[in-house]
Amino acid sequence: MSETVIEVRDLVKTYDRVNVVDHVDLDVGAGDVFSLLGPNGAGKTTTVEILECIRDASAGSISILGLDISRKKDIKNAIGVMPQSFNSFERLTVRESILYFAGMFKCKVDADELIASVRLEEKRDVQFGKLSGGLKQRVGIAISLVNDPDIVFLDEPSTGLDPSARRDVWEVIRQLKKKGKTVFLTTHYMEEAELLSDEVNIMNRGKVICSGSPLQVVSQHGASSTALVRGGGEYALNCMQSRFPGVILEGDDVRVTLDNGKNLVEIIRMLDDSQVRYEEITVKRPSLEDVFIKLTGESYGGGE
Amino acid sequence: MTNRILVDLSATIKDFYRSPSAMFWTFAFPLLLILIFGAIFSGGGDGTYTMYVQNLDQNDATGISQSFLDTVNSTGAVNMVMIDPSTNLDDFIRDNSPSSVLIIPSGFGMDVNLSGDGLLIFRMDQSSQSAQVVLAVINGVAQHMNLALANASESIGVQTTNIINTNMNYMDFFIPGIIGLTVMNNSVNYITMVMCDYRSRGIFRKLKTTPISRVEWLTSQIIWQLVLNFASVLLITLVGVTVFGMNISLDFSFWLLIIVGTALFTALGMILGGLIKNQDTAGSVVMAITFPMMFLSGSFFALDMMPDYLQSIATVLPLTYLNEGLRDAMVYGNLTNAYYNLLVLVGVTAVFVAVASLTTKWKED
Repeated sequence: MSETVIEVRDLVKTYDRVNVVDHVDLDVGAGDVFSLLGPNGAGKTTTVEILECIRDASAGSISILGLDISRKKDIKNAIGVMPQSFNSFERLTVRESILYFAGMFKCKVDADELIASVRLEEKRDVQFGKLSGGLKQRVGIAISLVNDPDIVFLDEPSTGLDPSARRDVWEVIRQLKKKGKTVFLTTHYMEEAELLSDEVNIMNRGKVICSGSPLQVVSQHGASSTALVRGGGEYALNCMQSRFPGVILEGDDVRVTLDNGKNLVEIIRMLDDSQVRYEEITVKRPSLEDVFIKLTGESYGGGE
Repeated sequence: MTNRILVDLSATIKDFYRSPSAMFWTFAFPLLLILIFGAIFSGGGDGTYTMYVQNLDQNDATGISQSFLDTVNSTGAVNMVMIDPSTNLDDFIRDNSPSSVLIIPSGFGMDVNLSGDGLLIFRMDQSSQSAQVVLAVINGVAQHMNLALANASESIGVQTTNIINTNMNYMDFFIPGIIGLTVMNNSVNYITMVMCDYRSRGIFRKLKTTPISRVEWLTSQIIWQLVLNFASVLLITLVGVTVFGMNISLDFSFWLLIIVGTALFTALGMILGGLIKNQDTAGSVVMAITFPMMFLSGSFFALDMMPDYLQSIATVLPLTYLNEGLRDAMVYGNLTNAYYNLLVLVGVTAVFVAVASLTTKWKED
């Protein structure tokens, strides 16, 4: 693993005697895209906002780029933040917004270059309030880069966006990684986390309940792959039931759990021998979303 | 430090002049108030009050009835409208809703001439101010004619002059009230709305992750409030002087009052913006606080026109002291009173600032 740029140990945040963040440890490697996942109220935004110096921790130690969290001034200069549901000034243009926040850091910034990096050249002089949701999020990301930070925090950057706008945001995040930035992401979308992240942590009720690369997490916690016999109907169900007790009928489809793919051949042979007719057989490996639902007991996929 | 304040100021200015509604409430609204009230109250003395007369004494050989009417007319205080003697008066009143009608009964002139007991009938709406004025004019003329008929002369005359040396009119009273009102509205509305807006947009959260401090941000906002208030105050005064010929002085105490008033109402706005999270609710609460103050703090009417219990409410409203102070400074030239009012305002401001510093947060804990 690469050098650690964020190290969190035993982080606790208490509201009304409840630990909203409950003894959390995190390690974020330099240059990685790190995703913090969790259902609403899991404590992920509270955790991120403590790292962003927006809130104070109740207990625990945090070091960001080797700086203790108490050195807020130095940390603020080294990180870039896009808060949750951030909207810049309604009547300032894209360029003016970027220059405003650059002015807060007193840093010289090439606004046009930043605008180009999120591909907003054509909207340079358009007022923020007149942009669509996806473009607003890209402005937010550009603003988070004004001080050329080493770590960029993006709190739910694609929530509420349509699929194509979401893809554009993903592309911007990939570009950040390419430039060597460390990206700390919280998201509602498992697909997004799986596609973009080097490391994911899933939080539930204030605790981190699993961590690792998306592949590791899935293989550790995921169920086995499943085969779906489309259009097999009751014939397929009857023919397999004796050999595979776990088989289930979903509408006209039949789902079977595979034992690491080894029994796929056996299934096809059984169907063939019984001359069962079906449309197709698909094999689906478990996704991060399956793991998420299994671990948190919640459906999460489509956003809020 | 100064750099960040300037950056924030320049963004605020851009945001302001690109917002038509902000421009309207800051500059156009007070001017509209002045022009409307000015038109209502500075209409001049020619025939402001309409006097309806039905002269039933058409065959008056003495000429007394006509000479009475001529005398009333010559005062110039009323604009006389004659009702045809054949008109049914009750129908006329129902159709035209006059607040008063003078009826000269048939044979009035002869009664005066022969027995000295002529009686005019005046039907009036007791609650109407203009009817009271018309009645006063009629009484005055009747008194005058009584003396003339008795061949007596007026031993006591009254010459009216103004309460203060300079020639004060209603606009002189009104414009300082509008200035106080504008300072209040600008400051409370602006800062409450900005705080709610920045909170819901996540701008406060974002600023918290940058090096700007709360003090720097507040400094920028207060400078902006002062600039805005100075600008609208000057505009109002300019219109007052050029259009309505106000007699005013803008001395040091005047500017101190504007500065302290701005600080006071900005702090009040900060308290509201800090406590009320929802923008719509905040708008309603601001209205609920500023609207009664507009009417109870002597912005439009002199306080002593109001009943006692309302006057005692006025003594606890900060806008009262701003209005009174501004009148003392601008119109009456009474600096002792101006500084007394200023002192009260400074005290209230200190309290508000202390409360605001407790209630205002950029971040959740």
